[in-house]
Amino acid sequence: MTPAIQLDNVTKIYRRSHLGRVKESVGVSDLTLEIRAGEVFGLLGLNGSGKTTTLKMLLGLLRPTQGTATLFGRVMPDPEVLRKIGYLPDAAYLPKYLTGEEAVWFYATLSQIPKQKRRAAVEAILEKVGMTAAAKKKIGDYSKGMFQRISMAQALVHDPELLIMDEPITGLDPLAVREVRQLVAWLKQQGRTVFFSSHDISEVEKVCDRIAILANGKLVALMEQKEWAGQEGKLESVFTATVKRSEGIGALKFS
Amino acid sequence: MDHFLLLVQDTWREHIRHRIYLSLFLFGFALLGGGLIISALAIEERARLMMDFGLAAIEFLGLITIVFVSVNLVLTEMENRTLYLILSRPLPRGLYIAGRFAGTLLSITVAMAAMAVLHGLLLWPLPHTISLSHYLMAWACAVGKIAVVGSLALALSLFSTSAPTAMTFTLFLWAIGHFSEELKFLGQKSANALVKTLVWFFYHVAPNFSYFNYRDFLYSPHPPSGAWFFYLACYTVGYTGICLWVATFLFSRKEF
Amino acid sequence: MSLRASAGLVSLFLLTSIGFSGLHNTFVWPYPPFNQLITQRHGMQDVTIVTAGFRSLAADLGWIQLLQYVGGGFLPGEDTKRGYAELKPMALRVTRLDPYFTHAYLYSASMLAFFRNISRPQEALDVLVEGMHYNPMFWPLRATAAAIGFSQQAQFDRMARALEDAIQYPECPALVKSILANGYKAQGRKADELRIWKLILSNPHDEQYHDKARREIRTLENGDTHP
Repeated sequence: MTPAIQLDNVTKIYRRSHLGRVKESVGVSDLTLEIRAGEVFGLLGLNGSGKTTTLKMLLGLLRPTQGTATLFGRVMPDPEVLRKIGYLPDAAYLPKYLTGEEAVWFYATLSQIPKQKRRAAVEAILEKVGMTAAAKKKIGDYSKGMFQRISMAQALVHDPELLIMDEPITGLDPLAVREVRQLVAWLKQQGRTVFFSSHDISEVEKVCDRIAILANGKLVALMEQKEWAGQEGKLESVFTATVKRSEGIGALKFS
Repeated sequence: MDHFLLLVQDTWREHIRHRIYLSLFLFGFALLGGGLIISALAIEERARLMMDFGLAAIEFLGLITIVFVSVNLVLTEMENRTLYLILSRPLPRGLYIAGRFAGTLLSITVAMAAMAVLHGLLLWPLPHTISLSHYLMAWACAVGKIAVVGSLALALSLFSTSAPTAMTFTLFLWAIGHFSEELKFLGQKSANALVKTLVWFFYHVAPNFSYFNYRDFLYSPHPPSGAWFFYLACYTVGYTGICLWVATFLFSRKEF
Repeated sequence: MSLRASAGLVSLFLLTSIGFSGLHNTFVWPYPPFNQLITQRHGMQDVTIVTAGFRSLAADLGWIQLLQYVGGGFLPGEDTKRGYAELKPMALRVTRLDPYFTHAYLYSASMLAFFRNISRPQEALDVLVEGMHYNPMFWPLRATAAAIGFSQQAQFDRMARALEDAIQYPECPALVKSILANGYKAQGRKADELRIWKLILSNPHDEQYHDKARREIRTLENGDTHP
């Protein structure tokens, strides 16, 4: 069976030139990973470990310096395969001049939902995310929670086979976190693949079938659920043992 | 086609709902009203001044708006990252550029048309000798000029990634484009090979906007022929297309 | 670069080239070279507006400044002993910006030739000759030049016939009609004078002279002596 996501020796080097000098930094180094169709996969790591870089290479927003990123057998960037992908970014990057309904309609059309099915799909997803009543208001007038709901709606309106989420629970209240967890469980039940990045270990261990840990752009651990299920704190101890801060700051010394 | 029309519609909505856009065109209407006052100073040539001032105001407002809007068209979406949700869709980047540009041009053309209607209403009671068809051709040539400038501004914004730089270069090319015939004259008079080469380069590569000033030829005894309009249309579509092609090329290579 | 993209670019270049060469071959640049512009103290204004692509408007603004000069008096530093010394350069400034501004030629030439405290017919003819070069089919220019010539030879009848030709055109300034009416007045030809004032009054273009026309008509019809 074709894997949903295949990363083969993927490296991403950022080059920034300033006053004639070129500065290089490694985003991701020699990453090889395979995510099976239908599984829930979590990508763990500290800030700057390469999680978002990996996600962006899958979406075609970045191009690997070396190696290939493949979605459903198609090497990225490939616009055609993106109709099977839903993307939920870390913040709601939505156009403020549109109403919620107009925005979802806009993304539904871009995702190539057939015209005759579009109205029903938009109404259904707005109902599912609980935004039917607020759909006619401008996004600029929305609260943070409403932003998140519409962001979810645009990611799911076209019933994607793969949902890619970038730190979906960062900054959310406990109620919202539970709703995201329910969403992931529902998607898994539907046979969809979910690939998301996070640094919230407690949530990751609740929902994921497998996880990978990135540190300084490298894959340092790959674990299956059976390796941490029923062992409280196991995932956290593996995480803290394998990652080191790369920000140039030392550990807190309050113990 | 669905995607293209969607982008045109979305861009139209964005501009119509933007306060700055509406303020600029309210300012344009005020300028037209100001023309009514200034033209009184021209005594017997009041209609001529109203005509020239009005057409100039329509074109000038179109210019400021399209330069400002085109330069920020993609840069703003890159900055606030709304582009992520668009590019993570099955949408070719060239179609995105074409759709956004067409939507921008449509919204500015509609505003220029509204100004032309008001201008016509102000001109109507004054005795004048310019026919409606000539007026419409002058207006259409202004729209053609705006299209070329807008596509140039868009390409420059993606090349430089700095809005002020792109605006400066666009306005520089606007000025050079109106100076083309004079540059050619200077090149012919000069004995310096470097000057001749530079002049040749700018004359052929920079857009020649003097061709679009049909409103200035309205009074000449030899106004342009029908064939001239055909060639102007070819030039407009070709030049705009090249700029959009360059913009697409630059945009396709961008990473976010 | 894909084949389709390359083909697209080549097609666009071809289209642009067809347009550019077609315009180049069918378009005759209708203006005098830049070095012939007479800008004097208005250099920045004229160059800025022309460079922005609004040549006709630059001529119009120059025209307003000429009217203000004619109506208001002298420019700073002007030789006031020689009435309206800057009139010819100001007129040529307007017409070099827009050589097809026929009204400007007629108005300025008429002022230069026929106004008592100016009376510089050679300067008037210089302006008209330039006008005829750019507007060879615009007969009022030739008629006005003829009138100036006859006026110099004290041949009023021939001068009047030449000006009668000129004033038939709707673009002819009211100033020229007024000059002719005053000419008839000086010759004692009241019927002709009355006809010209009525012509001025009936023309909405000549609004500026309507009050004067009404007064003159009233005077002539009541048989009053002229003030």
